Amino acid sequence: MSTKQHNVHTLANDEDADARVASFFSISAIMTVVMIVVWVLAPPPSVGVKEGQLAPDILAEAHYSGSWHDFRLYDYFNHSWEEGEPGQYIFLQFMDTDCPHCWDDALGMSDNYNNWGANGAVAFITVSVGMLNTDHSRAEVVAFQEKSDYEGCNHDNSNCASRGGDAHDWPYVDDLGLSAFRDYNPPGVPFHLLLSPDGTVVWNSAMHTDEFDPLHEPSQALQHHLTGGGA
Amino acid sequence: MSSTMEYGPLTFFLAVMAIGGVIASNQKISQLDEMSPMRRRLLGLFVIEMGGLAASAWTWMIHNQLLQGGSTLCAAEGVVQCGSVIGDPTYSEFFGVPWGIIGILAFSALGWFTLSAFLDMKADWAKPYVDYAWWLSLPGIPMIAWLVIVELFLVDGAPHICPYCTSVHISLIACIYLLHLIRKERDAGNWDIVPKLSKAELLAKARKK
Repeated sequence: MSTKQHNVHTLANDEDADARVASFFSISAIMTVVMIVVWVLAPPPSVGVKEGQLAPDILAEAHYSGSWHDFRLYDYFNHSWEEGEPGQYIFLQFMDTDCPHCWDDALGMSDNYNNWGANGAVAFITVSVGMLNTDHSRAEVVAFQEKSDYEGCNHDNSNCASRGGDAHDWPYVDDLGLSAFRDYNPPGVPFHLLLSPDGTVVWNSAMHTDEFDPLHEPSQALQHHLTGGGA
Repeated sequence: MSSTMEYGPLTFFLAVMAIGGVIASNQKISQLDEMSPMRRRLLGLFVIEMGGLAASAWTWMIHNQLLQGGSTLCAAEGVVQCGSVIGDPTYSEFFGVPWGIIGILAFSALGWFTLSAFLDMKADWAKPYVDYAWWLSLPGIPMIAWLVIVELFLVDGAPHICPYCTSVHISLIACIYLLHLIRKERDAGNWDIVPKLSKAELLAKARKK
């Protein structure tokens, strides 16, 4: 009760309150006009991993052609691409060299690459994350990629040379620090995304978890989007 | 890209800031004769802040366009351009927030302090509000220094000069200078002195009425 009385007393005697409120409304009006102009002329893109959103950028180093190179995902995008035009899609895989499901996924990745990547229709990119609480190193990433002799893959229990599939002839991005992992926030690994040539997510594996979904498997999604069934 | 779209807004923002500077400089403007010098400084400061806000919004728009490809709002080639600076994947954001948004928020807050003080200079809080604006603007100095270093040495293909970013820097430096001046004059006891008009000016004013 006494607090209420005090507040009423303060407001009633504060002759200056309206100048600050008037100022607030003036600034709010200016901000509203500015926001309308921004949204009309150049709205911020919807960045995220849901289908229809622009994929977040990835800045890191990637291993390919026998050495590590600077890597930027957006360098792969052709922003002027339009639906129906020819262009290179991007298949993004998040994996951990110590995750058993990723170990099994390596064979499927090889098959998909042979069908869609080797001919240049799709650029394959693997983001190797250090998600699990096991030993990780760049040497292990390279061994997993090249399928070379290294003890420590598959939860530190297998030799990397014994994984399924061929040596992977596409960039392996070093995300052992989990920078891209945090941006993409996958529900688990392996996690797959198919991006259209302009960087828009057209298929997100986490949105097709039902095994009866016709786009459940990466191979189905690739087939669907690259043969004109979707995109 | 048309040069109207490229440099037209830049000219406009710089013109707004220049007008703010003229108002704050207390040069004779008949329409503002009745305002005290301090009130004019506050008005000029507010105009410059709004110029900075608009320029910041423009850099944010360029940033949005560059995320989706090229920009039609600023040049992308040459030494004086925005593409390599605002489009830089590493330096175009501050903890994930585009610099343009930081500029919009900062100039809005500065504008609120300034406009509040301008609207009621006799209020108890009006003088401290100038201090709040001053303290709020000071972190802008290291930020500007950092962004100039980025432009000159760190971005891809450096050096580059981003004209819209530079206009925001100019605006903030002008604000800091004016706030310094206002605080100094306030501390000297010149907060709200109504200007004394000469007889001739009083006569002219009476004739107008």
